[in-house]
Amino acid sequence: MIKIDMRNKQCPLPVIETKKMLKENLNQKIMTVVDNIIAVENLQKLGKQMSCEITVNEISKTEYEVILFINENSNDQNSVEIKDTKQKNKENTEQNTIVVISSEMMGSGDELLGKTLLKGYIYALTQLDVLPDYILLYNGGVHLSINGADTLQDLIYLQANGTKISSCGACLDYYNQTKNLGVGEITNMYAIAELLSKATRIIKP
Amino acid sequence: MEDILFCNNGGCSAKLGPKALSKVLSKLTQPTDPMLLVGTESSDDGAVYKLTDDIAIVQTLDFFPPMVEDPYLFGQIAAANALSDIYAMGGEVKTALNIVCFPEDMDLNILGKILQGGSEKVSEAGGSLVGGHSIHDTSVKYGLSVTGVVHPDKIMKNTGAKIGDILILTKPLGVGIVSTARTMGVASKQALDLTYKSMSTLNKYSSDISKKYQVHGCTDVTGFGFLGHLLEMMTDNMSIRVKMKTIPYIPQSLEYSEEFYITGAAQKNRNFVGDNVRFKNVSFAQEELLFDPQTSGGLLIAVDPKDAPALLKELQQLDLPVGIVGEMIPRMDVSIIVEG
Repeated sequence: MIKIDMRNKQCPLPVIETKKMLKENLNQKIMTVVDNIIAVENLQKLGKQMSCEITVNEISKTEYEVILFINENSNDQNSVEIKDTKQKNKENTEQNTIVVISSEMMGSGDELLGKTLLKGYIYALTQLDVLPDYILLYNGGVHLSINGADTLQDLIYLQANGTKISSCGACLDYYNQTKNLGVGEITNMYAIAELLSKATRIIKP
Repeated sequence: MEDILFCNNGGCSAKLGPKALSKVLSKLTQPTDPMLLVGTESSDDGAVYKLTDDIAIVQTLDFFPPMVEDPYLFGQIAAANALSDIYAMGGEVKTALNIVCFPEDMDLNILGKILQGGSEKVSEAGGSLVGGHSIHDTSVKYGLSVTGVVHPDKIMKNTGAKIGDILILTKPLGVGIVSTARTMGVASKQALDLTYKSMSTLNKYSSDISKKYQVHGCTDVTGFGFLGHLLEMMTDNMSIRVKMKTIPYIPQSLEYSEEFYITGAAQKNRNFVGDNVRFKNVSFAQEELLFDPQTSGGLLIAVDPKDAPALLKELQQLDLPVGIVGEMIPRMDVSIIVEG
């Protein structure tokens, strides 16, 4: 173990010196002694970024030992484990959750508010742990999936992460927007009817 | 002329941490004067006191140790930083007083240069420098106490933003990181030039432009970093969706941040913001940039979405990196969501 005393040294010196030592001494533990908790937290960030094993010993309120060690094997195993649990989660969820968007507004009332709310809702979907299987857009709802719509990026994100996005073809045509479809597929009334009847859960915000 | 006594943690990173500060301040007696329109109850930039129906005074002060070696530049930056709080409240500068700490045995020409830089910025702001107070101290510190005026109906509070508003930042982030890299001798001239230009530019110009548009809220980004000050603009019914891609920053600062040229003050800011922010596809270096304490940083302006493109376009004429940083949305699980 290599010990460096960084007490009475201003940030970023403790981090910079520790980083240098870690790079120069690949298979060794580096112990950095610092005199305040903020310096400890900055060293922990360094350790995390460099995939180190991190140990912190508080000797007193003005003396801390931070031991960093690059363990080259531990990193890969962690990422494999995470992937496994993600896979399992996916398998356990329902396959037929459908979000139906049938207008440009969420709820009835003020139009501007309704639009803002719906935009917020589509964004909120992107933040969920489990994404819906389908998003079905019809009537005014198709305005959300066309180029230039402020919801387009979020729908593209959802599609990239496994949600199927379908817009009603008749509706796009009615609003003269068929050419402008920006995400997902065009669907027909038969397919819509089939999809809705097979759904285990229909969400209509 | 001898070198200016240089402090490692100069500028706004010398501020006391926000967490520690709010604990102490909460124990003080709160003022009750009904004419006090903006006082201590919010985290606003300056205090506003109503004199008549048409006029209120805005008061603020700021001073700190040097973060640059050139005393004239330091004077300019410290003054621009102190004057900024008046603009963040939507006011105009009227008078200013010097606040000076200076070692007795140091070359007085250095002090002269600092005061010259400060005085020029006060004049540029359209204000009058009317005096000051100096004490001898072990290290140099300089700043201003500033008084401005504002119409009581046109005060720009931190928390005025509405859902749907677009947020624009008028100066690049990263001046703290570049300054830290400079103390370690690695900052490039290009990075330093932009940093110095940004820090010494008055927020007057962006404030003047913004007054032509429907602006609902405003603050300036200083010691608590972008996210710390952004958090002060948030209310319970809204969240902000921050887009990393359009945030203005000094290009080299990201590289320096990757190399860990970061400050303790940024870590204090991180602790202060805590769970109120969620990052998605944001690198560690980018996170640090968002917590980086800014000296004389830009205005953070919440503008009606209809006005945002025109305001942005006009601000771009000012010759500093500006950008749309986010959008106010209906409340999510946390106040701030940053997307890479």
